[in-house]
Parts: sequence; structure tokens; C-alpha cells
Amino acid sequence: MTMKTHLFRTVVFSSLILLTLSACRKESTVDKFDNPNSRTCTSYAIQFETVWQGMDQGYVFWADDTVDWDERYRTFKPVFEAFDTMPYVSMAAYQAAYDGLFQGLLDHHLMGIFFAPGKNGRFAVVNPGSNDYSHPTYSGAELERELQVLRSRADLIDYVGFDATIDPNTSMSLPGTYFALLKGKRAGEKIAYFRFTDFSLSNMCYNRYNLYYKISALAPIKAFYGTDDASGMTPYGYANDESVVGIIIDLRGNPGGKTDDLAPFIGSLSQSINLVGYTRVKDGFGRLDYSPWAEYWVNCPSRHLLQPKPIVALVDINSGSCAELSTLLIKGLPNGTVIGERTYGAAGALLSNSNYSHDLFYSGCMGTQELYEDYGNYAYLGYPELLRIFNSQYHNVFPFYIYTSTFNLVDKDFNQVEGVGVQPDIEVLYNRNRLWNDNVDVQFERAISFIKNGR
Amino acid sequence: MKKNFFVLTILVSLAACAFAQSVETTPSNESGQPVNSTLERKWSVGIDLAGTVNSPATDVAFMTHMSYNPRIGLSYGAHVGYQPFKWLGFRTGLYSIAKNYLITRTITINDVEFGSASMMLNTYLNVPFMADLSIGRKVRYHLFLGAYAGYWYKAKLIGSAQVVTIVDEGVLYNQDYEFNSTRDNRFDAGLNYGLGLSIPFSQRVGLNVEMLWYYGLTDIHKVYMREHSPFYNTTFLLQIGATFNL
Repeated sequence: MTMKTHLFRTVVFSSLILLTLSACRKESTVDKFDNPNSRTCTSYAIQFETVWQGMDQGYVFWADDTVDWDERYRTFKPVFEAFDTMPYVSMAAYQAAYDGLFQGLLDHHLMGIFFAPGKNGRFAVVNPGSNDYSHPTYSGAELERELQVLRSRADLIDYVGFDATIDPNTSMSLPGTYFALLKGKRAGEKIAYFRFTDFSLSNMCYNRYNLYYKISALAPIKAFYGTDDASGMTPYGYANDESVVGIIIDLRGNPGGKTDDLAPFIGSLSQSINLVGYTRVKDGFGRLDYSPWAEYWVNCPSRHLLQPKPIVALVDINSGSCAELSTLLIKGLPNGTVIGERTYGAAGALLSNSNYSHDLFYSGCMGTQELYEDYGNYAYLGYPELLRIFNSQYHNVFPFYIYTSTFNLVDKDFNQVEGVGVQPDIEVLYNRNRLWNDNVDVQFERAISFIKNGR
Repeated sequence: MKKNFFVLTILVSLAACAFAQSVETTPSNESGQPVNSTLERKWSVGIDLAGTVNSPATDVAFMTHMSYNPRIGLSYGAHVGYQPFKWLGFRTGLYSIAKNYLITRTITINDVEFGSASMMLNTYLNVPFMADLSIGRKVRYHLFLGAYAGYWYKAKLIGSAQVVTIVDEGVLYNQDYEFNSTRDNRFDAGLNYGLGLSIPFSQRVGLNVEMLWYYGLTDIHKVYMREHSPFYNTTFLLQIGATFNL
């Protein structure tokens, strides 16, 4: 046999082997999926598949979550498939199925709304984070009570020029913004106390001609910051007054809101721009496909006007989201101290408009946005009416909406905040008995004591 | 998959028979060496430098705003060759090979284009085992066929990321990639093939110019979840090297 024959044979056989081996790449199992954000569900099973898949690929906390999501699939897929074969599915069974699916997930923003059409419709809402530790009192009632107790402290209050919620006969009117100057340790010394119950301050500033905002929020903002145009601290606010020796920012019961507020209203309190932590987003199909951690800075638009003086963030378990980012920021200041309880643990910011945001990151909020909006607008009418409205809109369609974090945020030391919250420097637990029976707000008193005594 | 293995087994058997037959029919001397070899030197060593183009392959399904794109890089290393027959040699070596790729995301919302780009700079240590089939007199023409194994040694990420308050601007980053043992499969293996030519300058020294492909068969993502999108690298090398015959 000639050399050329050897060569030819070897080339042919080797090439065939390589060609065969080259087919040994695994096949994808994700190519069967449509975008869960825009998928039309026409049965219980399809709704389940879509929700499961959307969370599987778009939930941003899989790296830290302990829930076995594949196990949840194996457990609940048959349940939803059975729903499709049943003549009647009760509201309780539908709710229980979604409760079970979402139980124990880490995301404390997470909320799901699910609807199944029918004669009366089925409706389920899940919010797994709310099963955590919480106060025995509704946070709105607490906020009102805390303000009542503060108002009663005539011995402490030096000046209240701008009380948006002064009418004691009404319940706390949102936004519940309140500013007061409190007496300090020595004569002439004052403590600036500022609280707001929602991060919508810049929104109010931009809509300054709205009479409601003008009366309820802009005056306290202007008193504290010296301006009500959401541009940050000026030399003309009480916060910058030389007589003010300390500042208390009361974020208790504040569930968060727009991060637009962070720079002008919290960043302004610092002497420099602030590294609050690091954020990342999903970056692919895999549960562990993430973008790199990106530094998350909050600007200081006051141009560092505020003189360094003790700043206390007063927080509790009901301080969530933006209030937690604010707490992290203040905790990181050399003159910042956090007093109260650990915060709620919903620090992962989100872009709630799934029509725009989901496909930017292929994660976060997804589903039928109108369902979520209608739920917000008409829930007060009660479930029967809500079901009637949904049934009139969604014929043979099983819409859903998942409200979940777009960003995973950790603190400056890469500690997970989600589900954990921000730990206070000085822990003072909510004391219902003292607040409601003795007229004493122990958390507030500790903050005053800290500023007066420096410890 | 089973079908592939069946076909593969048959082909390997055929190839083994063909090779055995060729050895039997090749005249040999007393020491068993093939007499038709005109090569005076059987062993050689060499150093190589290459430019690489790595093409990632993964399924993005409905994520149409995301794309994984090829990226260039460098490769360098050294090889050892053994040439028992004039027409057939074997080559192995150790190479540092860049298998880079670029992830881009672009989406237009309300006529405003958002986007981000992230470059994954991967360094692999690869050990190829290739049959070197060659013909030619002075200038020899080579066909390389074989397989390789290796290790995903390190990775770096360069790009921009969105943060909480800024979705239309990116924060730049340039950082080492932290491997995740649950997700990342750092063992690397696949097929090698390529074409080349060698030009001898003297009895001892020659120049190689080669086009090589590293076709990955190991998914760089472990299967840790029910629904899985495999990710493979295919790397093209345009390589130049020097070979020293021992």
C-alpha cells in the first residue's frame, strides 16, 4: 500500500470521526419558550408554566435563595394541570397553589396577581415577604400614633411651623410629611426632625401646583432643606441652621418609592457622594447568569453645604426599599447613626413598568401590567366587584402580573440586604404597650437621647 | 446521542483496522521502524503565537435584544512533535488561548435606545493532541486532526452595567471574573482540526503557518437547573511558529 493510500484513508476516517464527534454538543431546552412578559395564557397549566419560567429565568435572587425552584415545578405542575380538568376550581385552592409555589422566596418586593376567568373568576394574590416578622399593629396606625405622641410633647417641641397633618380629627393624611424643631440639650440648641412616609417627594416638588402637595408636603420640605424644588440642600433650610446640632430623619413605616428622591433628600445630608452598595442584574437564561457587580453611588447635590452634625436615621421593620437605601447611605456617613429595628429587607430596586423594563433586562416585573393597575385602582371596591371587572376584560385569558426586583443590591461589604434588612447601630424595638398606653415612643426618645448625649 | 455513539464506535473500529493494515503493509527494518521515512529527525519542539477569534454558541430563544458575538484575542504556547512516518506525525503542547466573546443588549423604548456591552475575556490552558498528516517535498502541507483538553484558567469582564437610578447610562467596570462552582464548568475539551504549511530554513529550524480550529464539546455551563441553554466556544487560530528538529 502506498503512502498516499495511507494518507487518504487516515484523512477520510479521521474526518468522519471528527464530524461525528462534532454532533455531540448538547441541545438547548429553552428554545421552546416565548417571552413570559408577553405570552398569552389560555389555561391554568399555561399560566403556571409561564409564571414558573418567567421566575426561573428572570428572578434576580437565585444566587442567594434557598428555594428549590425545580422541585416547585415538579410539585405544582400537576396541581395546575388538574385545575384544567376540574369542573370547578375554588378560589381557596387557586390561592393555595400560588401560595405554595411562591412560599419562602427571598424577594421582599415580590407580589404576584393571578386571574383565572370563569363564571365568577378566580383571583389570587401572593406576597411571600409579608409573612416575615412584623409588628402587631398596622403600620399606618403606628405612624399616626407616633405623630400624635410627638405632638403631645409640648416640653420638647420648640417650633412647628409646617405640620401637614395637624388636624387630629383626621387620620394621617399622606404623604404625612412633618417637620419640627426640637429642643436640644442646652438652651438655644435645636434638633431638626423631619419625617415623610413615602419616597415621592421629588414628584411632589415637580407637581408643585397641585394644591394637595403644596399644603401637605412642600412647606415641610422647604423648611428643612431651604428649597422645595428637589434640588437638594441650600443654606436657607433649618437643617443648615447653626442652632441645629443634630438631625433626625424618621423613616419608620416608610415603604419606599422613587429612587429619584435619594440624591436630593438623603444624599444632600452628606459631605461627599456616597457609595451605598453594589447592584447587578440578570444577564442570561441561567439562574446564576448575572452582570458584574456595579458600584451604586448616590450623588450629593447640595454641594456639601451641610455642616457635619449628628444625623440619625430612625427606622423600623416597616422601613422598606428606598427607605432602606437611605438607611444604608446614612449608616455609611461618618456622622450617621441608625436607631430602631432592622429594616424590612426589600432593598432590590425595581422598574415596575414591565412594558418597558422587562425586556431591557429580561428580568424583574412581568406580565399584564393592566391587571396590576386595575387591582391597585379597584381593590377598594371589594373582591366580588373586582372579579366582575376582570371577567369583563379577560375572556378566556389567564393574565398574571409579577412585581419583583429588577436589581439585586448588596451593601458596601457585599452583604445581602434582601430578606435581611439593614441592621441598626442602636437597636430599639417597637414597644406597642409604651406607645399606645404610656404615650411614649421609645425609639424616638432614644434618638433624641443620642443626639443630646452623643451616645 | 445513542445513535451518535453507535456511529462513532463503528468509525473508530474502521479507522483502527485501516491503521493496523497500514502498519502491517509498511516495510520495516530490523528495529521495526518504517523504512520509507525520509525524515532524519523524529522529534521536534516549537513555539507558537496566534491571533484568535472565538465564536460563542448559545441559545438566546426569545431574548432577541441580547446577542453573543465573536471577539479576538491572543494565543501562545509550545509544542512537541513526533514523526514516526513521513506522512504521519503527532503533536501535543501547552497553549494559553484567549476565548473571548462580547455580550450586547440593545433595546429601543419610546424611540430612545438603551444598551450595554460586556466583554468576557477568557483565558484557557489547552493541551491539544493532534495527528499531523502532511505531504510535500520542500514546503510541506499539513492537515491536523485531533482533540484537546484543558482548563478555564481565568476570566476578566470589561464593559458597562446599568445601576438603580441610571438605566440610560452605564457604569464602567473592569474586573476579574469570579468563578461560580455551581454554574461554571472549567474543564474544557473538544476537537482540533486545521491546515498548515511548514517551510524548512535548515535541517534544524523551520517556520509553521497554520489555521486551527478548537471546537468545544464541553458546555461551559453546568446543568444545574431544569431548563438549560448550553454554551460552547469555537475558536479559530491563525498561528505562526518556529519548529526546531532535535
